[in-house]
Amino acid sequence: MAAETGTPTTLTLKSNDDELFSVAESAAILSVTIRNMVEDGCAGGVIPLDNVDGKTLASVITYMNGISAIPADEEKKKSYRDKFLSDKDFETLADMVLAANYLNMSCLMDAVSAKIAQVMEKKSVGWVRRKFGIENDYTPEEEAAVKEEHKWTFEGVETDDDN
Amino acid sequence: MKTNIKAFRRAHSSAQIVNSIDDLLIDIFLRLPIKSLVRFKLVSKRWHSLVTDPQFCLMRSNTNPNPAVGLFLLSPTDSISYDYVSLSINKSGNPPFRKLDFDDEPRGVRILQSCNGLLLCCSNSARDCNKRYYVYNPTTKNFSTLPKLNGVGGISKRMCGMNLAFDPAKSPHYKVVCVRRLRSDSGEYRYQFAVYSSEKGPWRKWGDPYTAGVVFETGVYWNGAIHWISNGTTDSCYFDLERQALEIMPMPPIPEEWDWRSNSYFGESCGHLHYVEFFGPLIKFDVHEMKMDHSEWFVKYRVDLSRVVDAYPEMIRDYIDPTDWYYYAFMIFTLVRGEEEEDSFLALQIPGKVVRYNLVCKSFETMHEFEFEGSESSEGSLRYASANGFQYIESLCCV
Repeated sequence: MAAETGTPTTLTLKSNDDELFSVAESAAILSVTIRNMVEDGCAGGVIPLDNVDGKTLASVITYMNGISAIPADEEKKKSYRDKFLSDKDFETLADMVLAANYLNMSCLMDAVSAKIAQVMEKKSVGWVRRKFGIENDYTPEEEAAVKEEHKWTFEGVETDDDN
Repeated sequence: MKTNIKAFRRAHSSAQIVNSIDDLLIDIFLRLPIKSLVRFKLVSKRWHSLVTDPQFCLMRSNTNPNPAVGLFLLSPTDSISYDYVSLSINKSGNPPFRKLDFDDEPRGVRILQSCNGLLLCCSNSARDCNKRYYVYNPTTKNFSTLPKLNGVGGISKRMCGMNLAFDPAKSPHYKVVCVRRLRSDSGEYRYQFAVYSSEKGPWRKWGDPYTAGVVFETGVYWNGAIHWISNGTTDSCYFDLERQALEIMPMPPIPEEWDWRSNSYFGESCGHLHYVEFFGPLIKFDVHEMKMDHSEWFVKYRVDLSRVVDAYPEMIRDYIDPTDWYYYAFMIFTLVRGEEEEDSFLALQIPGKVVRYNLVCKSFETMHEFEFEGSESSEGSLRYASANGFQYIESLCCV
């Protein structure tokens, strides 16, 4: 253990496309999933993370290192999270939600969900359907009725840019 | 197993997978404004059912403070439609409705009370027995009609008030309290309470008749009870819905030179009960707030409108005596507690406009100017004679 030897323990994480990453245990245990594996003693060799690809895992590890380097200052952590997510596109944010959910990282989960909500807020129904791959299962009549009922919510919607 | 996950992930985008997991979608939904959520009901039938799920509405009420975003004011020109005044500074305020158009209501429907996102409404027919009562959610446009109240035991009763009790942070269900006056030979008024619950159904008579001296028409729901203020010659009171009891509400003392109190504003915002009274033509007054245990009122804000009067001299009716009660032309439309303490404000009606007066920084600005039609004039007169502005609070709650 790190406390006994005085040197920081490093873990090796493996993505589902077989990329290997080294990360300090102190940062990796932000993930409750990884922490449980460490506590159960399954972290001796390589930790396989079957639900996360290399690209997303690299990004999550950047976040783990960045946020754990900030001392207990909620404001600074928040601004780090905002900056970290500011340039991520919708698909990447969706990757991150799934990764944060699988890795059980509530602080990242909250931040990414909030970011997705912020991106969606003024988007059209069509944009949302395309981005989430959702098929419209209303009949034209049903759709017209729901739209008519909530007309006022369609004011101030942005024109689709699909970015 | 691993190949299966890979194959599944290859066939679906991450966003599609997020969409397939209710918990993940709900995490996102909880952070969306109500307007977006209502619009996204159109995405698919599944999204529609997630957004309208009572459990979701309850979760959302508990995670977001929900101050009023607008006011409904009964139009002085036709007395049947409602004018809408937006209370948010930066957001354009589109009225959720102009008229309450319910089926089979030729004389229209009027608002009796606004309570945490729901409106209690009733039809404009003349006779008590023909009146229908509705609980209406102006955000989702859903309403339900309350069952008819039947007379009990042939006793003649006069409808004195209908009051809505709804707190989405406590329960997705609402209650309606009806107060009727019994005919009495002794000359003392006795009131019979009946309660309808959206959860448990029909009207139930509650307790024995009570003796009371308040006007039960304009109750305010706060902290599990409905409150009524008397004019000071009798006790003010509140009806505790949990304990099913009518209690006396302590009131600030009436100054010696006055015989009765003038209720100038009595309302709730974001879990706080407020009361303002004037004694004479005053532009300095206190906003009282009730303690959570109902034990007493304390002074929450001290208001001085001198600078507002300087900025809007039309608030002075210089044609009448300065000691006259009506010397200053203004009225409190509503008091809104903000998400942050320093966002709390009064919406004041003055001739021709609505002014927003910040209760913490004492700053003020014109929030809304009335559009006058034809012969109407704004000089020295208040457009809305009644102070009854009904708060519009966005809500997803089902009725």
